[in-house]
Amino acid sequence: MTMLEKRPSDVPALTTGAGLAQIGNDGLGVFSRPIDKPGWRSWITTVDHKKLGLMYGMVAIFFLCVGGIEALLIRYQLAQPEQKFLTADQYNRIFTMHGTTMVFLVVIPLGAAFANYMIPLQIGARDVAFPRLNAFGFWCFLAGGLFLYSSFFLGGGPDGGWYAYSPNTNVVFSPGHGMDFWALGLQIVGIASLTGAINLIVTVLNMRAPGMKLMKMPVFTWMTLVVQFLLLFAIPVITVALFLLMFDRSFHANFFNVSKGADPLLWENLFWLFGHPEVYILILPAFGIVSETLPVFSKKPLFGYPFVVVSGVAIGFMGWGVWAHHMFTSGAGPVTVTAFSLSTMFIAVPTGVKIINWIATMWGGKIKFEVPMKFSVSLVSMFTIGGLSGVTHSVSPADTQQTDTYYIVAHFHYVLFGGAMMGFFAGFYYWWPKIFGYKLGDKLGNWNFWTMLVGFNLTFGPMHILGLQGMPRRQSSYFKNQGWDFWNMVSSIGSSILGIGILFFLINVWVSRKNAKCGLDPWDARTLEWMTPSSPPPAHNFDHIPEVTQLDEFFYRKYATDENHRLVRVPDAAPLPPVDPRSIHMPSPSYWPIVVAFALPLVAAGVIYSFWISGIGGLMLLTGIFGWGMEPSADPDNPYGGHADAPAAASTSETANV
Amino acid sequence: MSRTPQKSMRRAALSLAGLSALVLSSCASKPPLDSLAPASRRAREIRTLNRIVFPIAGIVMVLVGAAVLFCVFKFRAKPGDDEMPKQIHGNFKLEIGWTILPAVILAAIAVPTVTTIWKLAKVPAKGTALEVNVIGQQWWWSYEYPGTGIITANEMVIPAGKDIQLHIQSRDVIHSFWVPQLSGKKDAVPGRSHDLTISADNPGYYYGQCTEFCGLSHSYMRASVRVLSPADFDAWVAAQKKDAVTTFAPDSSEARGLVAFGKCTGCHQINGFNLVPVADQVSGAAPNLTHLMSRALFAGGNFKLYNDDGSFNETLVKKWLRNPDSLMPMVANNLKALAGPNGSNKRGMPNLNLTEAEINDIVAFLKTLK
Repeated sequence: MTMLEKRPSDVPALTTGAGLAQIGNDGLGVFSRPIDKPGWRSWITTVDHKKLGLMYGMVAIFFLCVGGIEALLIRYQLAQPEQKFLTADQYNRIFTMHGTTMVFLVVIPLGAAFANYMIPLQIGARDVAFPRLNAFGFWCFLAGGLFLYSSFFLGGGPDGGWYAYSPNTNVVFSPGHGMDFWALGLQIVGIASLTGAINLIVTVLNMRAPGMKLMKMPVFTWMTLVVQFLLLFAIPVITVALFLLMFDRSFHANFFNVSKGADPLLWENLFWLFGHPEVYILILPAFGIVSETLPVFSKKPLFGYPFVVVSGVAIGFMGWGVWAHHMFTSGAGPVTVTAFSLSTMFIAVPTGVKIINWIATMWGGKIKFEVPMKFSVSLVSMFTIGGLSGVTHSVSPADTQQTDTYYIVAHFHYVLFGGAMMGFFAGFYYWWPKIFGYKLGDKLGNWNFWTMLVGFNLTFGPMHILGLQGMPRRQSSYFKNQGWDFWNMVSSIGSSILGIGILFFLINVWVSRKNAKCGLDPWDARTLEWMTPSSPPPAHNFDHIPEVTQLDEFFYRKYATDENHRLVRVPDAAPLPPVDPRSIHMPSPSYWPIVVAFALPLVAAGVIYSFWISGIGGLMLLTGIFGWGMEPSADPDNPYGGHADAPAAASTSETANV
Repeated sequence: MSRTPQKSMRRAALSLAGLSALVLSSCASKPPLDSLAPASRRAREIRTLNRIVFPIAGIVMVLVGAAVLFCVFKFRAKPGDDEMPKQIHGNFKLEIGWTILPAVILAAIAVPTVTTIWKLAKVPAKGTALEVNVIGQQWWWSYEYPGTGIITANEMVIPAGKDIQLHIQSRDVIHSFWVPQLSGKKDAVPGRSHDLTISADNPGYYYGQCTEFCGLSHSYMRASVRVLSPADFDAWVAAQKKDAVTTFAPDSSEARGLVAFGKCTGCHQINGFNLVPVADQVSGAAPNLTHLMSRALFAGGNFKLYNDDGSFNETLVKKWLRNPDSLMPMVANNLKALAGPNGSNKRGMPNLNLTEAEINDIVAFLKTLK
């Protein structure tokens, strides 16, 4: 849906719109259009969904390492009672940033990374609907993440917990600048999610290949679509909450000031009204990924595709009606508690349906136990444990004993690590050959998997016991006589193993970069992303947009039923004639997204320190928006959008506009 | 590979035995906050729910795990077998079945859950329960017994076998009151008063902890409940109602301690001696010390006031007076970054730079606060 602008030279100069376009294109003089730039400039100006997806992934893995190191520090501190490795203040900042990082800078962006890279490929599109907005989203994520972390160098990180309950986050109780950085940084990161959501919804709804009805979409696309709707409605809620917090902290607004009549439960409700849909934002992409991998490696179609899709949509709807289960002890009356207990219990139904359908997919298959399959299978079993401990929380009287203890910590790590992260690792190994053209090594992959699985269970399994034995969360230390020594030690040892597991992954990524190319369809896959003419795909993705007639279109182009109703391989169809990439209309790279995105931390820093910084940021922002607004999405003078991987092209404009 | 299968089997068995021995030994020391060891009717109601839900969850977990393992081992592709397995796209009846089945199981869990919610929400009839205001502040709990004038800290004292109606409040940020053996949690939210009914079957000592993150020293904000027999409780009430004696022989250590204690009266109240003026702390007041020596714990409920042999723990109390931050992190002095403008917003006990002589005298005085 890239816009087809008229060439400015085709219309008389100085008619208003076109005249401005002319200025936007050439006249603003600060930047010329970054056409055909190789090297780092092709990355900072790119609007290609694949490059952006890749950068999302790289930055998210970087933050995974940062958040992981924070986790190791936490576990080192808690390995033994009464440790003095970290002070209480350091500990509080580190656990705050561990949670914030893992949720906002790792799991959401990893979902965005896979969505960005794979969705256009899975639906047979050339790019997303708004390519520059896509780039803007990524740069906002990076800018927001760096802004958040800069707080550690500017007087101390945030110390209010990732849930930042008021009034503990008010200036009186958290007088440093940490929580300012937190509120404003998340605001910037939130823009990434919001623009990404709008972009992907429009893309999926409007840009599917011909014949791809909604119920012929791959499940990963489906789950991501549900996630984008959740983001679209959930991010505004946290945005409001963060603005209220910012006004309170920076402008004495008293939204959460109890002495001025505020009720701190306003924050709790806003936060969890965002926070619970957020849980499904985090897990559904992983559900989508394993719904792709399990059929591929079992050599069977997904069992009950409509049920899996509809249950995902149902989770999306029901996810809005359960938030108060985070607040069973915060003073709600029995009617409210009953309602939210019941809704929480019944959201387990669509989740259970998915799990059983996945098992049924494997049932009777011929399973190839490749590394991505191992991660997928461990999602099915580990997430089940997390889901079941979730059911034990839905029993609200029991939850009054469990909430804010390590039992909860165990639960959500089984869901988010055993679920989401296992799914993402399945995705890494499964799609790596698509993204880089070669597979990640098997041997290191197995080491990666088994150390992660063992380390994960050793870390978080004992936390169930610790929680039931009464160990509260967010404890910087505990005493010898509290009876928690043994399992804390086990958990800390487990976390080191888990850390080594992640290290194996990084080593594997490094070592595998010289692996041999593995062909276009190494797993005998089922969906359109494996139909691109090369791996990694060219900027325009497909030479010929495939026509879709059924679910798993790619698979059924390879296989057909013979007279005995058995599935047999059919000869490959004759290749279509190659296409001159210059005949394909593509969006052009642009400087403006990064300019606009990196203006935002300046505006935010001004709110914290001095408004003149906001002024500079604001000027940069306005310049960026103006330049962006005046610049056509595809440079009319450059065929193929001026992408660096286009073949040397004659710059005759006649061939460009198709 | 020189290791025989038997040998490695034996080794595996040995390490398993070692692990289970460790597990057992770890269970031997009973954690004082164990939520599965109820000592009251309401905590038992909750455990009953656990006894329904946990086995069901366990069975489902085992079944799913077994099914996954079965698939992984049974349906593994054999090398060289290129034939496609039977392609099954789904089975509507089966799927409806396994949509309804979990719904039915959950409905079965919902029934006792909902009845328990309402049972626990029942408030005792007016006048039948002892009322206690439980007030959280950074980082300790105070307990006020309305109508009696009794205010105590760190340790709530209640009679066994009687319903206690708690009104849980906060002076600053959100805290959560939790004594697992007696009841589930209830948040202390500033500006609100949340009711929670508790009881205890037998006299004894029960520990708890603040479970809502409440700032720097959150992990040191502990709660405890001393349960007395009704007769002992009445005696305790009578003793607590008395003011402190503040007349001492001139120039005795106690008398000097009383004077030195003047440095503490900005925050600490002793009935019959002073009334806390406007405290410059966000939290409000510090613990009322009128009957300090009748308590078992001090400093947020973290430390024992008496040694195991019953003698007064003078070393620790002096350490506390010398520098409170050495026992429990405080915002008062050590964290400039956390303190507001002009050193306001102090929370917790400051280091008053008392001299050793002052500390000795203050301790002598404190020991008279029976």
